[in-house]
Amino acid sequence: MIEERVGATYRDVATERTPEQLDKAVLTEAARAARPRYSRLVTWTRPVAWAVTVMLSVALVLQLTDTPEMQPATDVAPAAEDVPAGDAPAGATFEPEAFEMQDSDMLQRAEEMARTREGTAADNAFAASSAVGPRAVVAPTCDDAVTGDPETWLDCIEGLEEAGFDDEAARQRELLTAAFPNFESD
Amino acid sequence: METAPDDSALMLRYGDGDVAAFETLYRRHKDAVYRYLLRLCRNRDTAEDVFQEVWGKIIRARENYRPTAKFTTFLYRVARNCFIDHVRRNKRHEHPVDLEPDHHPDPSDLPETQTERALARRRLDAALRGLPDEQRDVFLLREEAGLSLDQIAAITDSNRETAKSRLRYAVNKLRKAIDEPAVTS
Repeated sequence: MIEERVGATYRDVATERTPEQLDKAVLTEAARAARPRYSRLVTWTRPVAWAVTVMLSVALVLQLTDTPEMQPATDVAPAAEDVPAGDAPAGATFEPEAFEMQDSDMLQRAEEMARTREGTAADNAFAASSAVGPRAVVAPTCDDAVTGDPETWLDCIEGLEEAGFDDEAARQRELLTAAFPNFESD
Repeated sequence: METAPDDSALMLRYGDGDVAAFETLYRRHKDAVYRYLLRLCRNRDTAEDVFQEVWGKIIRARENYRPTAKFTTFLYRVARNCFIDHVRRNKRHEHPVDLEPDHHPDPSDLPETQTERALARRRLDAALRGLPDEQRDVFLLREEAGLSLDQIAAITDSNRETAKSRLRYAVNKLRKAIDEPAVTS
C-alpha cells in the first residue's frame, strides 16, 4: 500500500523523456547495423572493376593516338598559306603529296573496278557454266567444268560471243568441233 | 483484437533485419531506461552517453539474442552494467545536477498544480539522491522497468530477500520524504 503511494508519486513527477537527437542517433545506428554487409568478394570486385576500366581506357586512348600516324594525310591540318584559294572548300585540308598518293590509289582502284565489271558481264553471260568467281575471271574462257558436255560448252561459247570475246569464242568452237565431231554446233 | 508483439519477438525480428521492429521496441522502453539512467547517473550528459551505449549494445546483440529471459531483464542488466562500467572508467567525481530545469510543465495544469508538482519532484529527487545506491537501484528497477523481486535480484546479483529488503527500506525513506517535506527540502 505504502509502496503503491510512493510509486504513484514517483510516476507523477518522473516524466522526463529522451531528447529527440538521442532518439535519432540510436535509430540511425540501428538502421545502419541492420543493413546487409558486403561480402569480401563484393568488397574486392569494385576496386578490381575500376582498375580494369582504367586500364582499358588507357589502352583505347593509346590506340587512338597511334592511328593518325599511320594515315597522316587525312588528319593533319595544313597551314593556311598552303591551301590554294578556290581549290578546296572551307574547312577542307590540302596536302599535295597526299593528293598524289590518293590519286594513284584511286586510279588503281578504278582500274580494278572496271576490270571486275567486265568480268561480271562475261560471267553473267555464261554463269551457268562458270565455276569460278567473277573477280577471278581476267581472260574469259570455257574451262574444264563445261567442256565435258557439248551443250554446256556451246552455251559458254555463245556467252563469249555475246560478251565480245570473239577470238576466244572461235577458238573454243574449234576445240568443241574437235572434241565432239558429231555434235552440230550451228 | 490484435495484440502488440512481444518484446522478444520484436528483438528476433530485428535480428532478421526488420528495423521497424527495433523502432517499436525502442519507443516502448526508451523513456523508462532514460529516467533510470538519469537517476542513477544524476547527471544529464552522463546519462545520455550511457543511454546511447546501452542501445548500441542491444543493437550489436541482435544476431546472438536468444529469448531465454524476459527482454526487460536483459535490457536493464545491460543498462546497469553500462552504468557500472562508466563509473569505473570515469573515477573523477561528477557533480550531480538538479534535473528540475528541463522539466516541461503540462500546460493544462493549473498554476497551483504546477507548483505542487514542482515541489513534489524536488522533494522526491532529493530523497532519491539521499538513498544508498543499492536501494535507489532496486526502487528504480521496480518503478521504471516494472520488474519482479526475482528479476531485480537476478539483475543486481543478489537474492530475492535482499532485493525485497532494499526495496522496503527505499520506499519507507521516500514516503517519509514525501510526507515530511520540511525535513528534506
